[in-house]
Amino acid sequence: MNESISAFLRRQLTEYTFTPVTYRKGTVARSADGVVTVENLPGRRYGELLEFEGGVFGMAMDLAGDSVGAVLFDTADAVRSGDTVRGTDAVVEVPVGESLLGRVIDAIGRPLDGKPLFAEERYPVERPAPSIIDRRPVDTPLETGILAIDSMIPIGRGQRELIIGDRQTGKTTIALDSILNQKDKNVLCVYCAIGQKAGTVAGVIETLTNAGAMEYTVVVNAGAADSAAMQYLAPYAAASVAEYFMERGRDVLVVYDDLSKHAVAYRMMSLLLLRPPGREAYPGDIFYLHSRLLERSACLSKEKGGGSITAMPIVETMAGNISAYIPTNVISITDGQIYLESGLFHAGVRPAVNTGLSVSRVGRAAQHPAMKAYSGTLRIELSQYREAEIFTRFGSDPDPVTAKLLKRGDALISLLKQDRSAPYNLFDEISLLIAHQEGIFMDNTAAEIKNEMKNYLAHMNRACADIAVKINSTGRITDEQKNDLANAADSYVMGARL
Amino acid sequence: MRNCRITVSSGMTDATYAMLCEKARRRFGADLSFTRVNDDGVIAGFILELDGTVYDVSVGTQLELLKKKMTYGEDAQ
Repeated sequence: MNESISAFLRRQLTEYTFTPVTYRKGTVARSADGVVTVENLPGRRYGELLEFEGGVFGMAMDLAGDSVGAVLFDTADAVRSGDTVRGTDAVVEVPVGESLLGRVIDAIGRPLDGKPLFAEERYPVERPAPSIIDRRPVDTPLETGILAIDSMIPIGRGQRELIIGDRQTGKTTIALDSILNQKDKNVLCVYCAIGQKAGTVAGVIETLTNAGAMEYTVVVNAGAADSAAMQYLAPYAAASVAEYFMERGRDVLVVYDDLSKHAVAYRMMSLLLLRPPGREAYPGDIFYLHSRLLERSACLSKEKGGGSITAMPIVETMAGNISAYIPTNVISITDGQIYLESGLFHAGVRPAVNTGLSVSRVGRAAQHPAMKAYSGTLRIELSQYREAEIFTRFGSDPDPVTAKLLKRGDALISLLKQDRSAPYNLFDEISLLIAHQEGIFMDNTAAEIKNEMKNYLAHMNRACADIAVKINSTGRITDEQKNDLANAADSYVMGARL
Repeated sequence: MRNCRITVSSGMTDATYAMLCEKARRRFGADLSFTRVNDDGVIAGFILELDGTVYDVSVGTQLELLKKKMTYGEDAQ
């Protein structure tokens, strides 16, 4: 161990070259609430990284006359009036590369897991989105392993799918389950925590570590205790980390958890910089804040390597109000949304996806043919069930057709319930849809269905092991395989009745 | 006259300092007046400040950069 440390030190010293340092110098005139006014700084630039005394960093956000308005990345109390400010002549950058996989970094790339970071390259946090000519339409599915989503709100690689809902409705759980499901699927993941409690982020990292998902995941964290500037930068840094992989032909899933807190951090910065407030006190460029971030998610053309960034931004609503300012902005930017409803969540329907208000605008084109074959009518069936369910609340006895509809709907709701951190593979999802099609669980209660599902899936995997391998690897299904699956489902029913 | 502030270690001789001033005049113009600041944190070399721009060729700063490089693996921001 000592030998390797001394070898490391020797290498660092031999490789080191003496480079003169030149920088511009200004003075702190005023510092309050993480916003600093700098004077006498020559050649100032918008977005420039500024270094304050004591190793505190900030970013120039407002160029006005002779002064610069800057936001601090670190604690505001470390900066005093009269302190020296160094212009670094550089924009804010983050380390990127393979060595980041499994690591936890902050918004400017400093490791938070106590280990040194030797990154391959550095990318600016603000980068232009890929141009139209560099993109291709979304054509490959990104499986979340969540039946309700993969069947009715399918997501494609390169899509931006918003997860929206009140607090405590399972938004982060859906994002995490999607990350867990990317194991061995050649998709890398970036989880960006914005304004989250440290304990919550620690929990997320633990979940990812326990499931072996940290091997292909990078966590970018700007917590609730971090400055507004760090929270503002975090998603852009996460996008840069993901872009490194995308530009090398890899598929990446990025979760921004969450953009409501990101907007609040930007509002705070803007108000302190005395920018005029608009609706809900957000600044005028709040739409551009999120549109330029989410435009960086793309499905690149084959000429550009064919990589992709799929974005899963999360937005928290207040009392189910999806027509508030930030939710409507992000809904209009993204290619669809998964709306989670607290009523469903508290009724035990988890994931609490409201299929009526959820939509995927581009994912259907990328859905696996095998899944498409069985999921076509699910949304209609569910909406008919919801409608009939509302009518029967008035106490009227339903006619036989409606009673059957309700029974099928109840069974479908139970089938769509799924435990956290337990994603299904494609074959299991299709098997469950076949069970619904064949009405296998119609006569079971919700509690019975949960156990029955396990037995049924075990039976299907046993009876159709070859087909399972083919479907999971190709995503396709032939008519012959469809018949075999239907027969296997029938044999389960026969076996259960005997 | 423009003021040029040069920070050096207290061990720097007057002759070396005068040579440094002369080189600065040749590089930046003859209208310079100099202020010498002694700071042993410089260790060797000098830090020259003129018109808001700093030229830092001190050993102290280079050691700080090396420390950062070893901690973060690169020239950390």
